[in-house]
Amino acid sequence: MGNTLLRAEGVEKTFRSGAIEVQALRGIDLDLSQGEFAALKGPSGSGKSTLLHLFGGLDLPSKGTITLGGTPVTSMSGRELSDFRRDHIGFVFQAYNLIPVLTVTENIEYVMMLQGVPREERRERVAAILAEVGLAGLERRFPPQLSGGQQQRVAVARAIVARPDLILADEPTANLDSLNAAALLELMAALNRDHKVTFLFSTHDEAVFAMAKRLITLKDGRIEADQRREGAA
Amino acid sequence: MPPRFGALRLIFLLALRNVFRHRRRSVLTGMAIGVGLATVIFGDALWLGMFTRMIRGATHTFVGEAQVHREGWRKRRELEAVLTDPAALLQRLGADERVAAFAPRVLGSGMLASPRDLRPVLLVGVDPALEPGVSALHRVLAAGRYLTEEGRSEILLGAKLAEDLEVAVGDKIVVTTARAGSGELVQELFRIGGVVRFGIRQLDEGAAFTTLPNAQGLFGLGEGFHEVALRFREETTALEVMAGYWPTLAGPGNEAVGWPELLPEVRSILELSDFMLWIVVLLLFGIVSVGVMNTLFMSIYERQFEFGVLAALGTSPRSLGLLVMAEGGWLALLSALPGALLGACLGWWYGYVGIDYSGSEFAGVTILELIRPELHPRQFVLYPLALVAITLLASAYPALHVARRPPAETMRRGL
Repeated sequence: MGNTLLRAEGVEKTFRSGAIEVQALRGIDLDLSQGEFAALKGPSGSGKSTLLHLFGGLDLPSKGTITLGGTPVTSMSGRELSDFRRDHIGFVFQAYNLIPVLTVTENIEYVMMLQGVPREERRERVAAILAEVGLAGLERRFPPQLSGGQQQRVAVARAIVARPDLILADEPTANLDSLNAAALLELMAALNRDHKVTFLFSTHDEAVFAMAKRLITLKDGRIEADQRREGAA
Repeated sequence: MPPRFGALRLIFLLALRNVFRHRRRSVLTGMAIGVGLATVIFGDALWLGMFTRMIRGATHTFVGEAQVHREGWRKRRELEAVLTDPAALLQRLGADERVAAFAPRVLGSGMLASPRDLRPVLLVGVDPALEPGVSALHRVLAAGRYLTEEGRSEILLGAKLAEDLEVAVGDKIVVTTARAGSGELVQELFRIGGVVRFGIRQLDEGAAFTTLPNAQGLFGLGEGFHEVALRFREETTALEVMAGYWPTLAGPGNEAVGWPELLPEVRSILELSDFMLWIVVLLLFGIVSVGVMNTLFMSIYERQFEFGVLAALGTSPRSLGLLVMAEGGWLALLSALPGALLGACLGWWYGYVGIDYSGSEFAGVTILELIRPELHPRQFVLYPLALVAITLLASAYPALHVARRPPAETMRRGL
C-alpha cells in the first residue's frame, strides 16, 4: 500500500526499575499506511501496549525513530508531544476512557476545545458524530449513566471527531459483551471504510483479528509475523 | 503557548466538577479551610477589640490620647517648666476640629501627712469641669464626691494611698510642697473630698488630685500649668504621623506627643501581639495547606489513569498542572465564603454579648469594659485572599507532580 502514514525504524524500548531492566521492544520496523485497519496480536507482555504508547507519543523509544506523516515523533519535547497527540492521534482504551464529570458532548468536544475549534463548529461535529455512532439524544448524559458499549462508542466518537491521522485502540472490546463488541467493531470498520480513518488495534479479541485487514503478531518484543489480508473488515 | 480560552474554561469547569466528585472528602477539607479562615477572622477581630479596649483603657483612664508639655518637661519634670503662652494654647485647642476635649493639669511632687502616717505623692491639679472630657477621674470614685471649682482645700486620694495613710472621706490631711523657683516649703491643710480607684497601681498608691488653682497656689505657678491632656474626635488621630500638625498644635516652646510615645510599654505589647497574631495566622494556614495538599494527592492517586487519558487526548503538562491547582483554588474559594460567614457570625455574636475581662490589668493597663471583637473589611479581604494564595501554593506541589509524570508511566504504573 502507498501513502505511508507511520514508520517505525529499529524501535527499542527498555524499562528500568532499580537494577532490573526489561526490554519490552527489540528492534521494531514497521510501516503503516493511510486507511489501514490493522491489529497487533500477541500474548501478554509481548509489547503491544508499549508499541501503541510509542506510536501515540505517550512515551519515547529507548532507541530507533518513529515518524508520523514524515514528522519525527521521537525528537519532540513534552509540549510538542502533547500538541502532536491532540492534532494527529485518537485513542480508545479498554476502559475508563471517558472523563466521568463531563457530559457526553463535553467529552467529545474536549480535544476540539484544546484545538481551538469554534463552538458552533464543535456542536455541529458533535451532533453529526453522535448520529453516526448511534448515540443521538444522549448528549447531556454523564458517562456513569451510559452502558459499557455506549461509553466505548462515545470514546470512538471522541477519537475520530477531531479528525486525527491515526486511531490507536488498546483492547477496545475487552470489557464488552460479544454483542456490544461486535457493534463497536462494526462501527469502527464503517468509519474506516467510509472515512478512510486509520486504525491500529492492540487486542486479544478473535473478532478483531477476523475483521483486521492486517495482522501484526508480536512475540517477546519482536514482530513475528505481518500478514495482509484481502476482504477483511 | 498558554492554553486557549475555551480550553481554560473547560479546565476550570473540570476542576470544579472534580471538587464535587467526592463530596464527603471535599466537604471535610472545605470545613478545615473554612473553620481555619473563621478562626483567623475571629481571632483578628478579637485582637482588634482587645487593642481598642486596651488603648482606651490606657488613654481614657487618665493619660489622654495625646499631651502637650513644655519642651524637655517629660525628661526633667522641672516644676518651673510650665507651658509657654498657655492662654493661646487653650484657645488653639478649643478651635481645633480634631480635638474633642482637653484638660490642663499641674503636676508636682508633695508629701501627704495624716495623723497616722505620711507618704510622698504626685499631686495633680485638674480643672474639674474640663477633666471629665479626657479622663475617668470623675467616674472612678470609690467614696466621697468629685472635685468642684468652689471646693477650696478639697483633695481626692488614690484608694491605696488613703488606706496607707489610714484616712477616709472628711478627714483632714496636710500637704507639703516646694514652691517653683525658690524651693520654699509650703504646707496647707486639705479635707479629703473623695477616694478614687483607677485600677492602676501607680495612681491608686501614689496620686492625689485637687483643683487647678489649689495646685497652682501650692506650687507657686501663678496661671501656669505643666500639661494639657487631649482627646481626639477620631481615635486614630493620635496614631497618624502629621509632621506639621503636632508643632502647630503645641505652639512654640511646647511639644505635643501621642499615646504611643507616652505609653511605650503599651505600644510594645500591641506590636508583639500583632506579631503573635501573624504567627497564629501562618500556623493555621500552614495546617490548612497541608490538609489541602493531602486531599489533592489522594484525589490524583485515585484518578491516575484519568490523567493519562487527559494527556493522551493532548492536554499539555502545564494544563494538567493547572487542573490540579484549579481544584485547590476552587476548594479554597468555595470554603472561604462559609468560613468568612462563620467568622463574621462569631465576631458579631461576641461583639454583641462581649467577653468579660473587666478589671484585669495587662501591661499596666486595666481593662475597664467588656472586650468586644471588632469586625473590619480588611479581615474579609486580606485573610480570604491569603487563604486562596496559600492553598494555590499548596496545590503547586501535587500539580507539579502530575505535570512532570510521563503519560505512559502514569497509565502503566500510576502516579
